[in-house]
Amino acid sequence: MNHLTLFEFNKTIRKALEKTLAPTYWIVAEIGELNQHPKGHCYLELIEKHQEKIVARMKATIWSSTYQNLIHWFERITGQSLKPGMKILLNAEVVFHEAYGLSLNILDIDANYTIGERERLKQEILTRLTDEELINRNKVLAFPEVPQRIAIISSEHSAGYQDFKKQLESNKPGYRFDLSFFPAQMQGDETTKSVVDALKQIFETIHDYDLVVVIRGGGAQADLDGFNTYLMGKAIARFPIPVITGIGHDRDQTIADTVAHASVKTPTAVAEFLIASIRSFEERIDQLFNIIMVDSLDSLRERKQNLDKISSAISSMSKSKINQKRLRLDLQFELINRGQRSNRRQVEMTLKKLSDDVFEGSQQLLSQNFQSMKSLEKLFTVYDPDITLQRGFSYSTIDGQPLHKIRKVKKGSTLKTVSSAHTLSSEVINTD
Amino acid sequence: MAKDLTYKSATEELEQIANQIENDEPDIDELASLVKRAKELIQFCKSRLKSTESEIDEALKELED
Repeated sequence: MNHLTLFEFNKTIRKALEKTLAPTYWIVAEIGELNQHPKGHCYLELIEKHQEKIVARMKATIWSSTYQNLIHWFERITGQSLKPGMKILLNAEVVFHEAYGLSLNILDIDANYTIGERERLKQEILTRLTDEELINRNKVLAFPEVPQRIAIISSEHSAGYQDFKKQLESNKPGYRFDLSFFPAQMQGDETTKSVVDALKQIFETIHDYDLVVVIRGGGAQADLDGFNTYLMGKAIARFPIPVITGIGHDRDQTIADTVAHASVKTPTAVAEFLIASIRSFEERIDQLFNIIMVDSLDSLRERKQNLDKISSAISSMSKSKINQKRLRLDLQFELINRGQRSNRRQVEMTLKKLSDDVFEGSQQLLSQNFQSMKSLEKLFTVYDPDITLQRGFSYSTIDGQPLHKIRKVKKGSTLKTVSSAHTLSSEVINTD
Repeated sequence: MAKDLTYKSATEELEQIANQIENDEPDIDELASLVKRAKELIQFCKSRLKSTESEIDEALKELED
């Protein structure tokens, strides 16, 4: 039986492939695995999935000389390196080696496809967040009057976190900040889960914070995929207090940036933003106090002016009154002076008449009094005891007491009786 | 000063005082007490903005909660 050795068989395959296949193909594939050889070659496993099930698989190689060139451009355009899970559009030739089998030799990768693919995914997620009315959920939260109690999500030793802390702690106006740190992975596959976990942890004591900042240092190659996931977007959007991002990139907005309450480029910028917020609050209250002071002073000044006006009005009015009076007095004085001379006779006459009147009046008064004295005298005569005695009456006393005043008269008492003609003493014989 | 004073309530009260002085023409005594209150509020805000004794505040608040 005719037969081929394995080598001869493989050679036949190679020849058949070389004859039938085009020199190169553009292929869309997902990177399944990726290993870098110490010598600079890059070995990949390319896959295609349908609903998470791998339906195609192929080995591929990027030789060192190609790889160094290609990766440089790729990273510059996409902002990230090749990695598993990434979809790429590659140009490759099919290589069949008798000893190593079938593989692809990658000659070029279209970075724009990866950007486009990533953009498409991002758009899909944004559309979903919009449909679920999450996209503006965090943005419409009221920004705190004074963002002072800050929950920070970052990786502990990142330059970004240190910059942020330094910036806040050395703020010029001397505002105080209460910083609480929640460590999380800020790059790599764990980013989404790690940040979402940190948010959950913050949520447990949500009332202790005014807002959340998510920050990380820029780094040479920013790997932002973790910030472009649906779960990250949803967690930030639904967070009940404002979330501010500063994840150190300036290329394009991530989903996290889009749904956050505010997003700035760097951690330092986040710190500036917080300080500026507080400064604007302080300026506002300063302004209010200025208004209050200025208005109070105005009001006081107005009142003082009114008071001055009133007091000067009073003083000038009284002065003019006094002047008026003085004028009138002068006038009267003048009149009197003048009249004194011309009317002296008349005045003398009047005086005479007055004194006559007074004299006459007193005469009349005297005679009136005299009359009433006389009638009084008559009245008193009636009561005069001497006159009563002369009319034949007498009165008796015992021991100087008038009889009618003594309650009980003793027998043998000496009774003294007085009449107009005699004074007699007698002894009491009977007392009934 | 009231325990439940917040930045928000302080600014609201300041706005109200400014308004009152601007429009209501309070008498001198009222004016004096309004300005005094405004000063207190400003002092409250400023000391809260800049004091470093936040921990005490926090501890007190925890006790209240």
